[in-house]
Amino acid sequence: MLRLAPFLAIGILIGPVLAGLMFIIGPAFGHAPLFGATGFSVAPFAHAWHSPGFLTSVWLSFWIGPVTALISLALVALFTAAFSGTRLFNGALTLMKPVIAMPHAAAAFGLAFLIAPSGFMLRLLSPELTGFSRPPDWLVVNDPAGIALLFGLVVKEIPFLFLVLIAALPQTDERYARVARVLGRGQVWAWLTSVFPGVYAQIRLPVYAVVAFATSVVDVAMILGPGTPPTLSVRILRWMSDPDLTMRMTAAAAALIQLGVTLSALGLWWLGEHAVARLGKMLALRGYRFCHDLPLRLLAGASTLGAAFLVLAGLALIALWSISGLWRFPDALPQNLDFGTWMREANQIVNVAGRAMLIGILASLIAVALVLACLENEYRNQIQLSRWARLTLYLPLLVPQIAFLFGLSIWWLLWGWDGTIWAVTAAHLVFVMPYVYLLLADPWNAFDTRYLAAARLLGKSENRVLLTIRLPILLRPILTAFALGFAISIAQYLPTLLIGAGRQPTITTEAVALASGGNRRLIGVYALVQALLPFVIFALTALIPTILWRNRRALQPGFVR
Amino acid sequence: MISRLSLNLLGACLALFPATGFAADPDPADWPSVLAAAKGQTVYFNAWGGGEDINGYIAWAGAELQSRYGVTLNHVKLADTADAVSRVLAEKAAGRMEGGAVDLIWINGENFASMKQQGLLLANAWADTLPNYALADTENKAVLSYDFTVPVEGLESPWGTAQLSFYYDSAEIDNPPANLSALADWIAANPGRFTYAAPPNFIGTTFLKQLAFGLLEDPEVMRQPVDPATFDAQTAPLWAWLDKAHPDMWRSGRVFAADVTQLQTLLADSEISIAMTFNPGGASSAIRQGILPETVRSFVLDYGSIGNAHFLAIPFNANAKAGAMVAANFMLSPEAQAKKADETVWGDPTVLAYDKLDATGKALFDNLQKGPATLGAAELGRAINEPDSSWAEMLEAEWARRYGAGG
Repeated sequence: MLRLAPFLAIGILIGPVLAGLMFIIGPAFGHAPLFGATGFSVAPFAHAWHSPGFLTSVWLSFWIGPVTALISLALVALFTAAFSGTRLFNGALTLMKPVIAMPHAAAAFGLAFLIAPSGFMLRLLSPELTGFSRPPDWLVVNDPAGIALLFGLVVKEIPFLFLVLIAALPQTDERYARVARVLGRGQVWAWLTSVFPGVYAQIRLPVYAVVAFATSVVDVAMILGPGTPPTLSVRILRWMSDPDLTMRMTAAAAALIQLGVTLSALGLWWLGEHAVARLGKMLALRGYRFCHDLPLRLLAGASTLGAAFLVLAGLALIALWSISGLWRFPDALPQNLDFGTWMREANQIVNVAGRAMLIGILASLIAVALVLACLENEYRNQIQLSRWARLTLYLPLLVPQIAFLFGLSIWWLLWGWDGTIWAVTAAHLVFVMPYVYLLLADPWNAFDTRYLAAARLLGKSENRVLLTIRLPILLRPILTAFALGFAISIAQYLPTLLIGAGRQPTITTEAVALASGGNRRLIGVYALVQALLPFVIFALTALIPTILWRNRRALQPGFVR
Repeated sequence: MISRLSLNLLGACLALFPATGFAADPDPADWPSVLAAAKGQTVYFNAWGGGEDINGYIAWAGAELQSRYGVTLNHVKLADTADAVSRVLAEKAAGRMEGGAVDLIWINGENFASMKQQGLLLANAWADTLPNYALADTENKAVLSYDFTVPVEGLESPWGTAQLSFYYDSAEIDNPPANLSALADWIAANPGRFTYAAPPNFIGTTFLKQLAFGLLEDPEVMRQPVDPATFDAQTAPLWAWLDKAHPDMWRSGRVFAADVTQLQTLLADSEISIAMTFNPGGASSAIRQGILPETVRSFVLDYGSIGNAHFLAIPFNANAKAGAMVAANFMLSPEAQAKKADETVWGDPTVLAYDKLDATGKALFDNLQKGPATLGAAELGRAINEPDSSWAEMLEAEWARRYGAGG
């Protein structure tokens, strides 16, 4: 029965994407019987192409993917190179965990409020230091160049890549870095040339996921990104919502173009990988030492930790806004506190948060169980996952959500399953599984199988060995994967909206609906709850193994053999 | 002789078609039967969820519906009405002709025109035969029968009216500009303190139409469908005004507000000094909620301001049609309309005719207090009717071409 697990997993991952894409291809090429349009035509593509500022939108979506990944990866790599093994490093991981748990939209809100000209930073400094009694007319948030959007994406991707990199580190040998240092290389350069290539080979797919995400993100682009013209994904969403229903064909065409943009960005990254590899090899073989890297190390430390601090500061501001009364510029603090919003929304919050938690826990549990089954199947039957299999695993992350979700919802409609909690859970499962696999695969493969061999020799069955030896020892990574899966599920907006048909409001659908109203108190309340839910689960999952294995030294974090 | 195979095939084909016995749609003319059918139903009311006060009002209405008629009202909070339209469209595409997910939609304007054109609405002219429709002020308010010049024809039930007005902080500005040239002068004298929402957002497009009514040589041409040949010449003054004003606007006209509530947030943050809204009671409501300071006041331009109405519609395949009709009828009742117009609750103007109400109904409206930032009916001035909907499309397209591409 375990042999079925991989097929089930792949089916869950590829099936919805392909099914959803099916319903996009028709309208994109002019075939939409519902609007009376039949036959083949490239008019929707032409219409999209000629809309004002379309090329700017495409260019914006294209470059932001690789640049986000480049900056985030560079900072994370430099940080690890500079501080790996130190106490600061472990402290950084603790700092990053709540940031990872925060949904992108909540982080973007907090950031927007922090850096805007009428935002908290300037309120702190005004009017004493800056002389402003009104906010300056600076173009910071929603700037047409997309810098604010880039910033918002980078600060959220840094902790994610950090987590992924740490998960991959045990598979590499840090002693190479030590040898390189002994041979006279600077600390950062030593690590980058000896350890990083091995690490990168393992985190490659998550990095591709970051590139793809950045090219097609919708909610962060709406909050921080340019308005005239917006990114391509925001444009698609607006066309999908246009009262003129035939614009949906243009939206479908643009969704296919978005798919092309994402694939091109991924292709560019692939080329970049080879270019950087060549460059690095050349520099290493020529004997450059790059010893004077103190400024670089300081920069890496400040940027990485600074990014996490900014996001957490944004969260604190969201919390403050949720209880504030009148708060005008340039007051640094609200004039009075008002808990009314919390009290009025309490019932509704419990309702939607409860539903979100239920869906999250279900989706994560199923994902973890399925991934463990796949991994166990790989172990028992000595299967090595090929590169193509790994690619299918990440397909839901690489194909833009907006391209296939609408089509997917039509499939659910046809079968009459839309609007049920199981349909939404299944939709979330599609996006949760890749991340769960990502976090479980490496610890699983790093497990010392001699324990299992010893137990088998003592006569226990395969299942018994799995349940009593491997799973308990891997409890910490399993729970971390569960927590991340839960966080991913909480943050899902489009799947819940489209497949839930409005019958399954979660904390995130409510938060986005309320965000369209701009009432900061309301946004603050819902964004805070949305950010705290995953954090609670993360905290629990960090606590449980610590308590459970308090008498087992080797199972505590930080144990060095 | 029909072979077993073809019989089986026939059976299989027939099984693919859904049972086509549609239940007859409830007929509001027979109101007691509608009430009986509605009892125990759950109505999924898809309405924009971004306003705390609006959500509170809908929650109150839900409680009343439950206690009076046994109808459960579920407010599905939308970020955009188009999400509900997408939903109904997807259901029609998938062949779901009954039992749809959307029972009642808060809708108007282009979304209504679109749903009407695509046949997505319940079509038995139900809204005209609701008992409370007799109280609506259809004689004086043409906007109740023509939704952005598209005939309503009983496809949607009126809920509230709206009129474009501007508001500002009277502690900053003594005399707000009264007409468009004064506004242009004010913008030039106060750079970075004015903006509007980018079309095709609702209030952005309305601002364009408002400008057009004030700047076009002959505004009455907008009553007729637009003529693309003469459009550029006719709207030249409009674009000239905007070209001159944009560099002095907020963010030099490179970024615009997203919607009506971001305009309010910008005013609250002191980023701008003048904002605009559709809801005449909205500014007072914001003062009461502690979002805006108490010195905020409203004004309108002297040549009139665009007015329209918003409605409730029922999709063709709604699951709880009777319940939705009962809900719409209740929303038209004097108690619900008075509570809605109450500025401590929502402040949305009523669609009912005061003279048609009985003594209790009139008393409800007499007791309403007007907030400090709300203009009275006389102060609101002349309501300009919406132009033909083809004008909105061309204005939006031309705006996007000129300013929407980072120009």
